[in-house]
Amino acid sequence: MTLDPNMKPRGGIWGMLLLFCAAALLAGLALDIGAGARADFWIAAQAGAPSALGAGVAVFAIVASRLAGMAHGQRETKRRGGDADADA
Amino acid sequence: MLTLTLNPGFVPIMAALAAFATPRGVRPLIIVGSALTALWLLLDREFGAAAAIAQMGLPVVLLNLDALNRIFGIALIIALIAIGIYSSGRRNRYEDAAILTMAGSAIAALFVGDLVSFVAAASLAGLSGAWLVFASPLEGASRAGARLLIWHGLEGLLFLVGVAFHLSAGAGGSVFARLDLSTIGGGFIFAGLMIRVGGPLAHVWLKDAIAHASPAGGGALACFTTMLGVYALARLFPAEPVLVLVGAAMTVWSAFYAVAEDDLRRAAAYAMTMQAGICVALIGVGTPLALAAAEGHAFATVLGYLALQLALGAIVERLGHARISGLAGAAGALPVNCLLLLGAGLSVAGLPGFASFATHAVALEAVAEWELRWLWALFAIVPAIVFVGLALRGSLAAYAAGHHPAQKGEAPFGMMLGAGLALFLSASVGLAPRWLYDLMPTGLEFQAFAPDRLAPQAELLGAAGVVFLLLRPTAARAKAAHLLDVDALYRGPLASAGRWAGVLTLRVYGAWQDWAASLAAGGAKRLRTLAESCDRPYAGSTGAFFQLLALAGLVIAALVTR
Repeated sequence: MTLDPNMKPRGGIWGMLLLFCAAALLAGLALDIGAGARADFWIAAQAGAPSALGAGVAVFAIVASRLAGMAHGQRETKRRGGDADADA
Repeated sequence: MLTLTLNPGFVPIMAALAAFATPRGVRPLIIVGSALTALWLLLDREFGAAAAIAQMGLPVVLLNLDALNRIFGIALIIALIAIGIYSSGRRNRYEDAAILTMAGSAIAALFVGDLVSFVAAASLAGLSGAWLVFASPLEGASRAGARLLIWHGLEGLLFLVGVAFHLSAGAGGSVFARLDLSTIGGGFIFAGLMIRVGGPLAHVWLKDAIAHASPAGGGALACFTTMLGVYALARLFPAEPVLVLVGAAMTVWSAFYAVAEDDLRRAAAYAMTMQAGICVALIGVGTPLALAAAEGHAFATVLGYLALQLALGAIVERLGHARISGLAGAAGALPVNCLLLLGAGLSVAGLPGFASFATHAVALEAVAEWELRWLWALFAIVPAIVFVGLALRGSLAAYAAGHHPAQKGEAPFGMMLGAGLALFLSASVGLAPRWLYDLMPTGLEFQAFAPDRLAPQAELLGAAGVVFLLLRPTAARAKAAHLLDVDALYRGPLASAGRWAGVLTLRVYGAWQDWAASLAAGGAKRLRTLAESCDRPYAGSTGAFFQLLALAGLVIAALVTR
């Protein structure tokens, strides 16, 4: 369960966030690879590796939203006609 | 110069009594005034024990100040100041008193120097936390308060049993210092602290309480609950290897919910459990640098998540909820609140320039020092998870096109000021982290803004954001429901089983009562008949005459044989 893909972003927030993130990614990569001053003790600490970790987290978030949606869908099917709020 | 020897936590507790009897306009002043007085008491004292007395043969140390509890104390008192300002935006004297009691008892628990006083103060903090949830006007708050009361009751019971075993074993008396986990007393106290800190399977109470608390209550619960557990673990179980696994489990378990939960207050509570997990794991690593990182990260977590919960609370105050599925158009109605939400989201995500970044860098350094690779990788991805789960999802939802029906304008100014103050403090510490590093018990020479620390964080957050924004169309539709966790067990099947067992027991008990009543009535009838027959033994019955004759014969025979 995450954002509704059909919702149209307001005021270009999607574009602004994308620009912000892309600028951070490029600046970080340039500094990381260009400076080369990292104390790398294993592969995930090598220059450029954090971007792979970040991409992995984003994919995890999408997969988690799909899994949550599926789980919720199954609950809805079971509860159809019943109380939708599990809060009680 | 006036010098008072008083546990700083006692000031807010005393102020709680005053909050009952004062009008709305004065109560925020009382909260802020008590916090400033507590801060003065804290900063005015030298390190060391004071105010020790003896009760029933046990030493009671009401004030013991050192570098470890000072850093936690400053964080909690600053949080109370921000909450006091925030509380001026609404009227609820019971909630104000509950906040003061919870904050005061949590601060008092930091500064006491013996186990019995710690258990008393921590239990009072737990009870007042439940009171805080009961005082919430939100739907389902009373049930959530009851659940929280059960959790904290269980925790208090474990503490008491642990302290009793510890004292009976005579293991060092009741001094509030390192305990041995392999002893029974130490084990019970450790189990109680697992509840307080939100350990695996016991983590659900925090999100449940925060989701049902009022706007100010959510912020207070985020500050004065789990971080007290982190402090106690640092004091009682430093360098305990099992804490590394516990902290890692807390982080992994909560990651899924932080990115998938629809209610942002719940998602923020899960994210806070992840950060508490980092602190717990660092305490388990136990090196001086790791312990310093744990304390600093707890400080930054208090400020960051306070700002986030207060910003979300302001949205709840106006819209009635903080669900992603219902936030479309919120930025149009609440532009300043949504900006605060974005800022707080970036703050907790460890964006360079905020306190979380400065302390998270120390945490990474502490685990890299011992080449704990899997733990390093886990710590490294936490900011990205929080960035996607809270900052990006929250902002995209709030700024999505829509017309929110509750167009009431911004939240009260006091609420925005409180949230803004917490965010400002987080940014201040983040931009000048030397101040925080100097507060840590271990002298720390650390350059948070070195390129080899700045670049990976920018890369991590940037890559996570770009990939998430590009893949967003493939994400599932937002739905107004929350995900099941461990609590579904005792709120779902176990609750049903309990109700069924209760009904069955009542029916069995009722049937037994009926049977016992009919048996008693029958017995009584026979006894009455017998008594009546004894009243008139010769009345119209030859049988009775012969019975009497036989009885007289027996008596005579007995007398003769004697």
